[in-house]
Amino acid sequence: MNKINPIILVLGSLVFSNANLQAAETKVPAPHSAVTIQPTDEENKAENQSDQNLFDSTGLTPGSTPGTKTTTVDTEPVTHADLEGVQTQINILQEQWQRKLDKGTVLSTRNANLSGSFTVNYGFNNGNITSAGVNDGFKAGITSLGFKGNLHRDYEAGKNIDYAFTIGSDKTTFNLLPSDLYLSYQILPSLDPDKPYLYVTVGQQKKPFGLEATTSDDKKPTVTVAQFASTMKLNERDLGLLIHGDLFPVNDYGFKYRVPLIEYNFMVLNGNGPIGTGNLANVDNTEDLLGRFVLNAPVEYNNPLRGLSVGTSFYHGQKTTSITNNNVAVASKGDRNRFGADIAYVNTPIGFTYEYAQAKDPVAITVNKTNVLSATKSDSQTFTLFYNFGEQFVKGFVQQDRYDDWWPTSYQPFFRIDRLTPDTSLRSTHTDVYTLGFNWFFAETTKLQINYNRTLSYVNNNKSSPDNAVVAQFQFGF
Amino acid sequence: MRKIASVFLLIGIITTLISGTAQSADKPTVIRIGCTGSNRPIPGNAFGILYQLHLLEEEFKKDGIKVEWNVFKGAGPASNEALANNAVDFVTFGDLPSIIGRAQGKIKLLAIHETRRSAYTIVQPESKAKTIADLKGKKWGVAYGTSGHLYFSKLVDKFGFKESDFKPINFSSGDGKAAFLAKEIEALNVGSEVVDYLALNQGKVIYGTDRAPELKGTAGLVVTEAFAKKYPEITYRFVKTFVRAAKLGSEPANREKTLSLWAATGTPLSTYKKEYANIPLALILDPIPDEYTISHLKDGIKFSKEKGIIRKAFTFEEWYDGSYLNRALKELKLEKYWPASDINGKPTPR
Repeated sequence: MNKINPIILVLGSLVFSNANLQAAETKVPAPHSAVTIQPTDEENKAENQSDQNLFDSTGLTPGSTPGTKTTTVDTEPVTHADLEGVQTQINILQEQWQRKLDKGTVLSTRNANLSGSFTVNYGFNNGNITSAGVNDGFKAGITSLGFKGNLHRDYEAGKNIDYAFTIGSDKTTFNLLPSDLYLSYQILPSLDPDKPYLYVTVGQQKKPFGLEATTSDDKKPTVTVAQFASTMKLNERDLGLLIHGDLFPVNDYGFKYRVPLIEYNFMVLNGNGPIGTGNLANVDNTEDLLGRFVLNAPVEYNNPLRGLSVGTSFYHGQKTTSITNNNVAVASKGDRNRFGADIAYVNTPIGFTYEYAQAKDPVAITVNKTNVLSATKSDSQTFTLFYNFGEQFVKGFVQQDRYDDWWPTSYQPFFRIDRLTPDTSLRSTHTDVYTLGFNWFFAETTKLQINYNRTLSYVNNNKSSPDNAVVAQFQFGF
Repeated sequence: MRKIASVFLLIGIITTLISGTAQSADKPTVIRIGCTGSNRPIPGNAFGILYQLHLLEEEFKKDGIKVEWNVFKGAGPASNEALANNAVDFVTFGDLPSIIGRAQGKIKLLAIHETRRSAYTIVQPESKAKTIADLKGKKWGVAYGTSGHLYFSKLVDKFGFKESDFKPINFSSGDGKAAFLAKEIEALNVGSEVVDYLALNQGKVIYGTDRAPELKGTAGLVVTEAFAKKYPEITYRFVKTFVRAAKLGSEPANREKTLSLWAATGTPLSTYKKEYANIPLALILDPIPDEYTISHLKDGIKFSKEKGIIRKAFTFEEWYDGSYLNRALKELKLEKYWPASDINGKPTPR
């Protein structure tokens, strides 16, 4: 328990620093009296003259910060010589830009948006359980580098063709492997937000199963993913073809907010996981199927139900398992199925997600001294509650015209309960991970995450000694 | 269970304390303003004068209240989003977004920020289109959710068409300009920058508010009901300072300087000079809702409801709170300073 103290101290210092701020604020003089005092004519004249003097002394200085002095504008008519001077300046600028373009600019045949992300964390724990994925010391997290862009822009109907090419590090070896590799085509016109959208995406991509597996890392509050996402292999990418679209959209022009009543996803995939060494083609010659449906609250932006959704996902595939009989190993295929249900309320400032996932995997067992193919069922429940302070997730607010590198500092405390039962026939054996965390968004693409994980492992209802771990992580991208 | 309860309690304490830092009980630590720029992060009209003369900063400096300017790229919709998320206290934006904002949220109209905002429909220089009817089935850039959206809807309605008779494409103003110059769209709705398109032969006007003044736009100054209720005196002082700025910009002697200040937004001075040629700036900056602006806003509310742009109708009287403005006008002895206009925009005694 001693190692819980640091996080308590961090949170405690936040509490006290804010209390101090509040105390400081209350020292400010009291506001103006509610009693209306009419200014005299002399006072009005003086104020008007003061305003006029200020107006006369102020000029045009684009980008001036309020409170700083400005310079007076020269409103003399422009002469021919002035105009020639401006033309010369423009020509010089043009030449400079051309030289920069020719010598020092990365060029691409088509539109390309370069992006990347990296995480580095420090963790320590006091137990032997490694299910929370925390080891003492510094650790490099997932790294990615990628290009996304447009291959064809259809101004007529918005039936665009887009691409993604991303490489990311392997979790254990840090080898760089392909991550997102796909082409996407908008089948239905996408210029009218009142109409439904339909896309087809082919290549290696995320599997649209549930919430945890589909949410990008920069949107996830936790440092470590929920247990089921990795044990059920739902958060890994796969090769396949995805049809996804929506129906009955509600479009709130006044807030630039569009929400469809129904979202659907159908995917045919290899089921072998991401492309890697020796994993370029479908090894078992059968395709897996995946589907996901989401019902969203069809409401306007300012409705309290905005962000409420319920979803369900299913996955049907096969997995080859080796069965040994009479010292002869025989490969045998068994069903590998997944089912999920989720509910989410992602509003500002508060939100929560709850996700249930169930898996069925083939396993070889011995019956009457003979190995036969059976199945193991596992399931998981994950609940996350969060609260946002600041405008990090208010899209329209953060897109501001500013001269400086401004970004609204935001904070996000959260709490998560994550339970994984590896064999549902043995309910008394399961692992619970409680996470209390705090995210600090201090720049556009950078955040500091502090997580306290308490992992409790139960075997036949016997609780192991808890594992307490603290992880602090910087996640940054561009 | 006790441990889980403790965790929730800790989160609750942190939440309460952090949220408490935003504003103290008696007065705000900061006044958060939302507005829209043009090509630079500088607002125009009365807000432009307020911003560049630092009048609000001076007004609230003695109270230790900071003034925070947020110039949104996303225009009206971004302002509404900021209001809905309690990220701003005062906002100035166009007629349609403010109507949508009031239909869904709790905001009060305090004063008029700009009247007679012009709008034009331009087509490609080589286009054979001469009338609105000629644009049927053609791609037409419209900034949805902005005052340009209301202009577009009322324009097609005026000629007896439906929006679906055309191919409206939703663009922000910057993207719309790029698409039009790339000749990807046939028509585009623009504001005062129309003179730039004409001067550079980049487009030609087929219709505009010069021929249909009833389609001109109006922008308002709004405050969140929560802020006005919690800080009525601060709200009053804000409005009073706003009126002082409008007065400075309305003075005929200050005309050249005012236009120069507005040119800091990135719209050239020559554009403003052409746009407002022969128009007294007092007509543009009149903060008092008169028959002309009231009828325009009432019509906008009615039209938006009929066209399904808003779901819930409301009355102008429910929206407008003139108590702060009237008090400011009285204290500044400006009740009769600005000329009033009748429903058709013609001068009338105030």
